[in-house]
Amino acid sequence: MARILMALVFLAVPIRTALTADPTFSSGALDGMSFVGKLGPAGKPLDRDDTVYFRDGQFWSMGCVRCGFQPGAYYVRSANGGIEFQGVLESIERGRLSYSGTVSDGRVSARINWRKDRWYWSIDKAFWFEGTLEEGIEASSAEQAARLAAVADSAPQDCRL
Amino acid sequence: MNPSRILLLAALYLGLIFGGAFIGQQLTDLVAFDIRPSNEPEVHGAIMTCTAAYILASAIPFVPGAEIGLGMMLLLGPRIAVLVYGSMVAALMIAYLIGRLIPPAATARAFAVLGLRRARDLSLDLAPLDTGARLRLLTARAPRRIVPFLLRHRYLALALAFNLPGNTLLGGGGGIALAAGLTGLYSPGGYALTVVLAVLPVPLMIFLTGHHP
Repeated sequence: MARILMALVFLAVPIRTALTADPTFSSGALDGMSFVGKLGPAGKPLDRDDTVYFRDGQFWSMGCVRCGFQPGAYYVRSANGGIEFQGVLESIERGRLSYSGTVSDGRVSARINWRKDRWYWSIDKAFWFEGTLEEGIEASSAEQAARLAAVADSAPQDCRL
Repeated sequence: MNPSRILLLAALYLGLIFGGAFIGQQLTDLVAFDIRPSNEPEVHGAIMTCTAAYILASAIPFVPGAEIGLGMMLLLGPRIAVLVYGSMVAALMIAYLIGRLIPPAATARAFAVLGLRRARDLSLDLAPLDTGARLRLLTARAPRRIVPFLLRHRYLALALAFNLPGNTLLGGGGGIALAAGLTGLYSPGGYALTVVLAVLPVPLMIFLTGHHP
């Protein structure tokens, strides 16, 4: 019984808290980087242009912000000669995107698990983002992206994710 | 019955079957989405609209409701099975209740219009009787071999009819449910329990295993 309760408590801990608690992860190492690339459903061609930004310990993508996903904190650790990162973007209307990716040699490859719960079912779908580091990209701050996402969540602006 | 009336009935029958299949295809096409974050709210709205249409369509005789439900589960995945199951139960309850509300005289008139005189006479004979008396009358008039057995086990027979492949030819789930209501042989509680159990196997199997039959 105690094990079951422990398991339930463990499952109830949000991913963000788990990552923060993991001493192998830290934050901010990718700040200032922008990756331009394409996104698409796992196992299918990457069919949507997107750009992922890392600023101020947070990350977001232009495609996600336009759909109402708020910038989220990201966490990194060194692995296999590159940098692994994880983070979550959330939208009230469209659910939650859990990013898990690797930055190596100026390229990023990330698996994105999208989850959206409705009263009659839950959608769990995997996407991929592949991009390359682009220098000199002017990006808004995380606060500006958050404001844009807040507006877009109720009234999407060019949401093509 | 004269040949022109037979042709008219045959045309009506085929029209109902193909019309039902057409409605089913339209509903199935409506939910054929590639669900992504950008279109999920619209898909949700479409699923709700489609569910309402599915309930109403499945309550209509000769619409292949079970097949539409299977199509929805094939397109949207096993987790939609709960919604499909609830919708089918609702549809069969609606059709049954409509059948209960239709006056026997109206049923008899419809049989008369179709030229089905014996069915009209039987309907008029059954109209003033309670359930027990109706069962006795039907048992007495029916062929001795099968019908009395089916009447004794009418809830089981109904459950089997709902699950009979190709039952669209008999009127589909909606038609069978409407007929069940029209006969007055099924109590609302017994009918509801029968439907809840009869519709359950396929959606439950799909929900639990993720496999389609």
